[in-house]
Amino acid sequence: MSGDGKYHVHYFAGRGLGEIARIALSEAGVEFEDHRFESLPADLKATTKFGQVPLLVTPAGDRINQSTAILRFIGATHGLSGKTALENAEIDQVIEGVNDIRAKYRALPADAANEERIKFFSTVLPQWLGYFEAILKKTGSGFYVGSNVTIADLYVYVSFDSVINKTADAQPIDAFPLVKAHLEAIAARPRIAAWIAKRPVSQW
Amino acid sequence: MFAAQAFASLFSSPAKTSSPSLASDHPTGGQAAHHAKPLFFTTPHHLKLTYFPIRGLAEDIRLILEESGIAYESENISFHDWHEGGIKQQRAADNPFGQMPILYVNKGEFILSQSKAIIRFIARSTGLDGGDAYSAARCDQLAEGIADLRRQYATLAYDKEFAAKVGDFINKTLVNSFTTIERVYDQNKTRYLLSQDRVSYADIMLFELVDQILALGQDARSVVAKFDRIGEVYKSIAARPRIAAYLASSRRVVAINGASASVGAFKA
Repeated sequence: MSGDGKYHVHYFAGRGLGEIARIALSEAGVEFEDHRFESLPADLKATTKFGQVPLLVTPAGDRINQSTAILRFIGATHGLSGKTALENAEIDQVIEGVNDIRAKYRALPADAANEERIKFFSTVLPQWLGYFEAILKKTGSGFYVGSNVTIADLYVYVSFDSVINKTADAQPIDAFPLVKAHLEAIAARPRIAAWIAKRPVSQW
Repeated sequence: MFAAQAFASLFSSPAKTSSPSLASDHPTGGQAAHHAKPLFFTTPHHLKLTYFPIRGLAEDIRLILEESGIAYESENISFHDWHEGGIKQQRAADNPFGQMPILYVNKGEFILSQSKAIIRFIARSTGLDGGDAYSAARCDQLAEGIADLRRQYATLAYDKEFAAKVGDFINKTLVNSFTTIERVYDQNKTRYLLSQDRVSYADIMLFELVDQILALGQDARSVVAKFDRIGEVYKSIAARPRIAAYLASSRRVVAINGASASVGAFKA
């Protein structure tokens, strides 16, 4: 494998599972080429390990699939991981917690009047936001692990941005001031704010 | 409860260097920056793994501990005690998301939950993730693919319409996922993901998932038999001395899933 000296992110023309790679590279201050498409190009489908995107191609030409595998790799190579093995474990704990709530959200039927969907926004999501509020209260640093921004903060931001801002009925965030302040603080970080300002506008 | 401070002396702090980019100040592109060294378990620690008396989400962790030769205490909490006996509330401070498994290090000096976070913590601490950022990314990538399939398996196992859906799972979901996983091993040329003889945490996750899938019955066994590389990983891990000893011991619990599952269900 030989690379062209640049990072490349390959994903659909939306935020979805690809946005975390773009956000993490942006926070790392790394230039990357943002390849977007409406349907998976045949060459990518044939050459990608899991036939899936997002796909990160490193400057050396290494190809990494799976959004959280990409995220951990960027974290480990650009100073966005924990400072110790214990911090890395706590980062993973937060990432997996986010994955749990993402999975619950993804499994919901689209129908806004569906009972499961209503229950998710009225009960399940507030319960989980409470979990995240408690973590921030415990760290007291404004970050989910330790006292600096890590991939855990970026993953929470990107995931909650898509879950919470998705529907008009989802406004439980106001009851969780630390979670809310954290999302605002991450969005306001200069490199992330610059990325948000320049990224293509998309529905999802 | 996170008492990371108490362990601070065990670790160097590579990210505290003056350079904001670990990649730029390491000759191999920051590969070694992945680990805080020395590895965690090079000094003795007391470990306790708390879960239900089933394999479920804890078995990958138990297998990785067994393969690493790390002693641990198993605390198995009954479904009744967890849900109705007040244990879930008692342990609320130990796990941010109200779930098991939970790993207690040194009687609670450090407490960790979320099965995949625990798996990676032990894998990083023992080198079962390959020990550098690139190897770890390859393990993570395969592990996430395996976890995707396991999630679908677990959804099926607890589905009220299990009997109607198991055929599609075996003939479509399983075939598709195993085709992809088989291709990963084919591209590798080595038996395990990272090497011919050195097992990775992703290989061990695959072993356990194959074992759980075989319990679905003859149709599943016929499908699994078509994937040579996956079969080789499964058989060779089962034969590894520490794993084989564990599988033959009473530490290996029989039930895969909770009592309401249609396959491998816990029986009181």
